[in-house]
Amino acid sequence: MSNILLHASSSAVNDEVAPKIEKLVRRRAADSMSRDLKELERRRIGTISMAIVAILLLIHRRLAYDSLFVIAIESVCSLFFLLLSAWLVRRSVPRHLAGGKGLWSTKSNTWCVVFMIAAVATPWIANPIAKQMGNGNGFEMVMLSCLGWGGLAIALLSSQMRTLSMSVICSGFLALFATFISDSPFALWFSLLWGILCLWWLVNNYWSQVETAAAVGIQPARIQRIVFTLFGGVVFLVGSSVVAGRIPVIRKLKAELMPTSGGTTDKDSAARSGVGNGDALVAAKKHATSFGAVETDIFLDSEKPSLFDVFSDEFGEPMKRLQRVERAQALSPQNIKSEDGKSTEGNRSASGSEFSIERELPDERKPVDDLVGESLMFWQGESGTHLAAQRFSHFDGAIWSNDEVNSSASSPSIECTVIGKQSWFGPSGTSVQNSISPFVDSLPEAIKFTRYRSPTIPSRQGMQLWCIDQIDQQDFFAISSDDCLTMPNREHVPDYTVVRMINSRIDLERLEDLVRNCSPGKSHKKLSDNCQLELNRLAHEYAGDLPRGWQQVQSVVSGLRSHFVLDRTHESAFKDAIENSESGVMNQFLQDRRGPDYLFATAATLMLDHLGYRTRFVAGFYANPKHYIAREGEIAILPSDAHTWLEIDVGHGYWIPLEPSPGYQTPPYSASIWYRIKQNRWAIAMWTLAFSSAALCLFLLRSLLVEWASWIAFPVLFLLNDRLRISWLTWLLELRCRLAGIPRAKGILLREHLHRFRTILPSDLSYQVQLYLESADRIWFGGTSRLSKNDQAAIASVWHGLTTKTLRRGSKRMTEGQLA
Amino acid sequence: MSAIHEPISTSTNYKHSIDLLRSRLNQVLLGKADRMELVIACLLAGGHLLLDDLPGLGKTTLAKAIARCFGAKFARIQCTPDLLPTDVTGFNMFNQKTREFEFHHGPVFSDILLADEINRTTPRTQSALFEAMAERQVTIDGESRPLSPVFFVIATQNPIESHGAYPLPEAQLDRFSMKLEIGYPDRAAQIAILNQVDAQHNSASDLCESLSLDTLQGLQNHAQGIRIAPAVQEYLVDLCEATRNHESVSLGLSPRGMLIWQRVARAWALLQNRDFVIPDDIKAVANPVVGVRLITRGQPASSVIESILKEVEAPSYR
Repeated sequence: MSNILLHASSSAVNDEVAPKIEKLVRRRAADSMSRDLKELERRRIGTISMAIVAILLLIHRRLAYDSLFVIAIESVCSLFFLLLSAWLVRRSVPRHLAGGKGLWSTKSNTWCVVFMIAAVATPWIANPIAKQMGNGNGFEMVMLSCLGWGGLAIALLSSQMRTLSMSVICSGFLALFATFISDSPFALWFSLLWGILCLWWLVNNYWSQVETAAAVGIQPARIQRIVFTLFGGVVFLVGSSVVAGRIPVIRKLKAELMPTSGGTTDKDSAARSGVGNGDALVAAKKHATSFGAVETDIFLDSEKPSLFDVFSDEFGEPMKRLQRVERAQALSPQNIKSEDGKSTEGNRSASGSEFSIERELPDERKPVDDLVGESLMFWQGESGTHLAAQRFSHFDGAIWSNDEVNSSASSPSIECTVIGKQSWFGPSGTSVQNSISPFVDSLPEAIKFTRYRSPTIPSRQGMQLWCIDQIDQQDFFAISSDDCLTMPNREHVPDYTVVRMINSRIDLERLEDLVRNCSPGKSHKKLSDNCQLELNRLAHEYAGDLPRGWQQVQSVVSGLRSHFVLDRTHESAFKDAIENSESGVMNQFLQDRRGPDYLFATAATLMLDHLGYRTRFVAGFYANPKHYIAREGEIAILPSDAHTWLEIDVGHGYWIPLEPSPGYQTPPYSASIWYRIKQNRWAIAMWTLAFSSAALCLFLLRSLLVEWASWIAFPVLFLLNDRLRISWLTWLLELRCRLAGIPRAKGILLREHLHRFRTILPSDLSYQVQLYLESADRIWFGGTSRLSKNDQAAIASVWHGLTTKTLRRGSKRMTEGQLA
Repeated sequence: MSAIHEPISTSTNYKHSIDLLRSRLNQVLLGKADRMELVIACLLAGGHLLLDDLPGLGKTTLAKAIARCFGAKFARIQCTPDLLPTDVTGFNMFNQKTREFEFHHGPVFSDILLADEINRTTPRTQSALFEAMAERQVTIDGESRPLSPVFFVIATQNPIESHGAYPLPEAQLDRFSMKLEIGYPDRAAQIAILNQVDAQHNSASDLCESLSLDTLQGLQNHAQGIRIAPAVQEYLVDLCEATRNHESVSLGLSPRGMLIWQRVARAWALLQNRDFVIPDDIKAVANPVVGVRLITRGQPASSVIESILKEVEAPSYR
């Protein structure tokens, strides 16, 4: 008996102790794992901070030239994907701790990797889109962005200590490069912050190893670590400020071997040597401080195209109007002199100081094979930019020429500013960026000339400053009477000259104010009455009831862009019009609603002129996005990119480009998001309404659409094997169940789920469902590979019979039955 | 040709045997057809059965009926606190006449063993059954003695009276394939019981004619040859993992429990005249198989199992 009691008591003790031991063992295992995870999390915070600082450093660099909007979108997308990926990993941690599926279970692993790749690849995806919008980056900047996001991805998703170090390496590399390529002094503060974080991270995580290696024990006091980190930061700061700019090798490295300094042979195929991008080869001479003519016979006799040739090749030669001269002989002597002079000048001028809209059809040109070889120049800047080379303010009905008044006016002088060691030039007396200027931001852009034969430097409106390396003489440049930047006393801009520019964007909000209050312009002369009336009518039609201002101008330009067709080969239709008609090509253009771009520009100019705006005709080049050379990050400007457009005077000496030709991007305007939303509020509302309505319709008709789709897809079933047939039918049935409001729960088998409706379904259909389920079991779990004809017939019956409607009705009857 | 037809005829024989067994047992225990299916599944899976129910519900009758069906050797142990392990396994006794030790076989050397009120005996005696149940052999004085290849233990325990009872430890519970509650029969079945009580002896004596232990062994072997697809096995593993990770469970299923679950599911598929297991089979036997070995934190095991079955994604035909 006592034995039994002893057994009983020991059993009772065991019963009490056993759960405690079990709990202890489980807790210890969990503690060990969670300790590792805590350590990992602690280190992760440091690496994430470093990665973020490195990314901010790069963003800071990009902000100097890139659009904030693009950077924000890119960053938000990357961050979103990364956080999504991190959330998936975090979700599997509790299961991992509890001993369930691994931290990287198969399903979440796949999605994590997908999102991670999406995050890292976002700069690659965003860059072409940004380029289309007129922004974008070079290859190396995209690579650096990817590196940054890759580093952050590793920091966020790493499940091992050693992979975290990879993130530190990535962010360190990025911080180093971003600091080197940055011109801003703030970059140094970012890099200092990164250095301190890195030092703190190292001290924190590897202190114990220092302690182990030390001969005398080191007390791991927190204050000691802080002092050590601060000391390191100070040493870094002092050291870098002492060393900065004092070591020639580093200067050379910074100037020539860093990726964005153009120090590789890949930078530009036209560069003459491996290092440097040809900046020092201005005028084919190094260290030019003053300028003497360097054109040689080689250049003068060159067969390379001049600017006039470029326009002639693209638009055809101006027509020789012998008939006009003959007619003029009957007029008064003053008129004869005037017409004769203009005609002669127009035909003689190699620089194209006139632009006739009556031109012959150009020769058919073969498509461009070699972008680099056939380009006139390379543009490093926003795509779709309009680079003006000539401006014409007077139109006589056939020929554009410079206004006599403007021609005689004194050209603005140029002043020089030395920034660093570089002389920058800009128009004196005016500031592009002031409170009323429609130009904002500073965009560093550059143009490199290769086969360009004109002294005019094509430039965009809103150019603040420009420079050529090692040129410090103001007489190197001049601003011509038509507001174009030129190199005076030169035949053309020397080959391989790189002109750097600081340009601006056009701010729409400021522009609106200016256009609303701009003074009325003067009228151009002299089209035929019919033509003028038609132009006036169209101007009013396109302007509608809009008040005077930017919207009215835009409306007229949009009207032309949408109602007329750009067609350079249509010029043959104008030939008769030029020779026989009094009204000329413009009348023909208005009738056919089709023609080359200079007629668009002329028509827009005349329409806006009629509405009381002062405008001028511009010939130049268009930075065509299609000619973007991804490897170089440049846009090749070809002779075929010769283009005409117009500019509108918005007062205070500011001219704004307008693009009336369809197929060409409008000049890039900048505006805040809120402004754009406000401007497009009705369009947004309309699209929202349309989208909501469409979504609502789709939602309401979803069952019907699914049934139609299943009906259409049914013949495909015969092409599939039995396993796929069952798979498709199962998917369809589950979809129908969801649409009928009776979705299959996660843990409920399809057999169970459908079994509930068997009693409600027609007996024949119920039997077919049973057959389908049995055949599905045989195929999926029984190792059978073929179905009998009966089974196949059952599948077809269920496909057509067990519709959403049937299921919904069955569900309803079941509910009613339960309620009854 | 005969080689082709042989499996079909064998399969038909098995089906006939199962139908016969099913009908005979349902004659003995009226109104409990669903329970009988599980009992047969447990028998065909080669497992052991724990009946957790009140007295007088036919537990002993059931055990005896099964034994009689197969003409098997039946033994019964009435478990009491003073029952010794040797009373279960047998012992060596010195015969003074022959001057040799003679082995006296215990009740475990039978085909069907009914351990009545198993929770009334001491853990020491309970553990004497461990080896017999798990390995179908007993070791006495260092000598292993094999038991019947179809050795089947039906243990009963009374859930009401807990005084002087020794709850079965988890290790022993894990050796049972399933735990069943027979429950009271419904009204119609009770009336049928009253009417048949006089004829009971006659019908019971008819049970043991057509089936044999060889048939039972053949059925057990056939059940273990039932095909189970990888997708179903994955579902089974998912369920087992879910029992280990469930917040209401302090001790989930062991790999041994998982193996038993698979065996019982195979037997269940055989009872449904199928030669492959489908996920429904896994779910059908989940409650009795998992319920016997799941240690919950106070919630009823059946509700926990129910929630696990709802939470774990069932395989579909996709």
